[in-house]
Amino acid sequence: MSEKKKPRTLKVDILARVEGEGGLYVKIKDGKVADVKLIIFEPPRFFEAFLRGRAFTEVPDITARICGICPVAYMMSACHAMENALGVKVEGPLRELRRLLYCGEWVESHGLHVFMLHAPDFLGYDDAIKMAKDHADIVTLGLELKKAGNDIVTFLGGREIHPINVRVGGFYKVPGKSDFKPLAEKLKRARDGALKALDWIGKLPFPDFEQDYEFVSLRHPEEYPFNEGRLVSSKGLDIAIGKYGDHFVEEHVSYTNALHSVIKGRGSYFTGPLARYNLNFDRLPPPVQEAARMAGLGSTCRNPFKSIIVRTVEILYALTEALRIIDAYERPDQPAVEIHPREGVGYACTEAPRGSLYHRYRIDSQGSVLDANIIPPTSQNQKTIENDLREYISRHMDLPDDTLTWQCEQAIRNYDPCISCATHFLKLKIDRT
Amino acid sequence: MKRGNFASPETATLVIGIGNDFRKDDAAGLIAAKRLRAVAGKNVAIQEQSGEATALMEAWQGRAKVILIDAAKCTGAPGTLHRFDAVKRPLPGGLLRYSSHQLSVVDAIELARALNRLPGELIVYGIEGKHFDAGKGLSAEVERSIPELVERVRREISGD
Repeated sequence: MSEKKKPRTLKVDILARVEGEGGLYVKIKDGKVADVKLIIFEPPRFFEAFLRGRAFTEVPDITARICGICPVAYMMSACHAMENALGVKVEGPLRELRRLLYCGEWVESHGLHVFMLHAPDFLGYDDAIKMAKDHADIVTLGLELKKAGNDIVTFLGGREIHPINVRVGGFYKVPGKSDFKPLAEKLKRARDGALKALDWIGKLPFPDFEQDYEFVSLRHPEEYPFNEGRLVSSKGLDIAIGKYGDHFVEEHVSYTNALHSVIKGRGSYFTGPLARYNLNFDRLPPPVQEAARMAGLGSTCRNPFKSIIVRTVEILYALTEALRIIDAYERPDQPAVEIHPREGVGYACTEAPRGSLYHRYRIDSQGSVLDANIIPPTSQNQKTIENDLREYISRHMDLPDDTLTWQCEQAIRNYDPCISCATHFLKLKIDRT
Repeated sequence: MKRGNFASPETATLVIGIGNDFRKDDAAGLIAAKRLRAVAGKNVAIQEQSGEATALMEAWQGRAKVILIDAAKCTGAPGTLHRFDAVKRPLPGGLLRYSSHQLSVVDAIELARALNRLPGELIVYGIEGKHFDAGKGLSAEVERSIPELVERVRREISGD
């Protein structure tokens, strides 16, 4: 290859459209990928440490501050873990309202990522603003979809970022049946919009790229997963969440401030929309399955670049599910179930927009947190992102530096990494010697 | 986050204070909006928002005149005030700080420009901040500039 004789260094100081601060270092030696490091240099924020001594009731609101785009995921994992520790089960309309809130977050988060952050990659635009000049209709549609997600979170949570209405045991206040009417009308329009968007997204040009991933996600007996289920994988893992620590381990890696999560004895795995879709296609309602097929997907998809289609399918699903929940809703007698503190350990895993979010807490008899462990999806996907880059660069070594750099950034955005969750992220540097 | 008077007619000037209450000087826009309520006339609607792009665009859609107030991060002294006519020309990149994982206020303005969804008039007041880390309370320099900021926005609304 020509690269053998032509040493080159590629450097992108700030990778756009990925939040947080960190870097990617790629070393190419003698025409081969010698090293790939995803370097997260944002300082750790020590959330798990300063949760110690706080009341169990405070934890959902504190952990929600880890992330401005998936606060609902943190609230849900925290609530479920605490309820697990306290022996409480939240069911009926309150459980349904939690699913509804999660629908809002998926639509909000996926809407931002699909249309504003990732779609420009596929069409060669630097950002959504430049794309909007040529594709005003689709960008407008994307904004409307994101707004529909905001509307759900604002309606139930009190505001579109960092909702204030969630508590262990349920909510502070719940809506009446008729309160939903204006929201439902908006969501019906958004669902129609999601179908149009899916048609457009499915026609984007996708690189041909697949690897032998181990997909990991929740699986529920009846539902496409948000809050509950067993943790399963495409290579046979099937565990209760309480057994998480027996199968997964976080490793310190010298070049990054975020821990890498691996499956014991097997290594990297893949969490997020692609994993959920592959492990739960049969849990999607038939009209959503049909829409996915119309957009070019089968019942499984192993190409991470096509995660943008799967995210759009999940937008459609979340809007469909939201409307189902609203239609069946009956106001509960109480906004939350009664909670009494007791000593215990609680575990929960819920499906954040970008993958499984694990929380474990140990609390004392007064309900104070003794210790905490939080494993966000971006930490879990770090090793898989590095593996993708190593393989992708190996297959496309002859591309010019600027094209290869662009495609590496696009490959990273396949995972919608949230660096503030993992602790933050990204500069890109490729060395060719 | 969106708090405000939603009943005001679309002919009223809309003022949106933007910021985060828990990021020290980033709260300057929210605080200015609160203080403006006490002195602004009737024909004005005042909102406080987080700066989330789609909420901003929805708020200003169809409005004749909109004024945004937000904390800014420039190279000048903390408390320095800036005024921009965002319809006439784009704002300087990286001016308005945004701490969450969303499109920035500048992104919202430029997206709206590309989509032909800017209000008739869009004036942006930036107040240079000093501290944007976690916590409550404005720095002394920013606090000292708030009365002038509120007065300038009041005059902008009333045409004094």
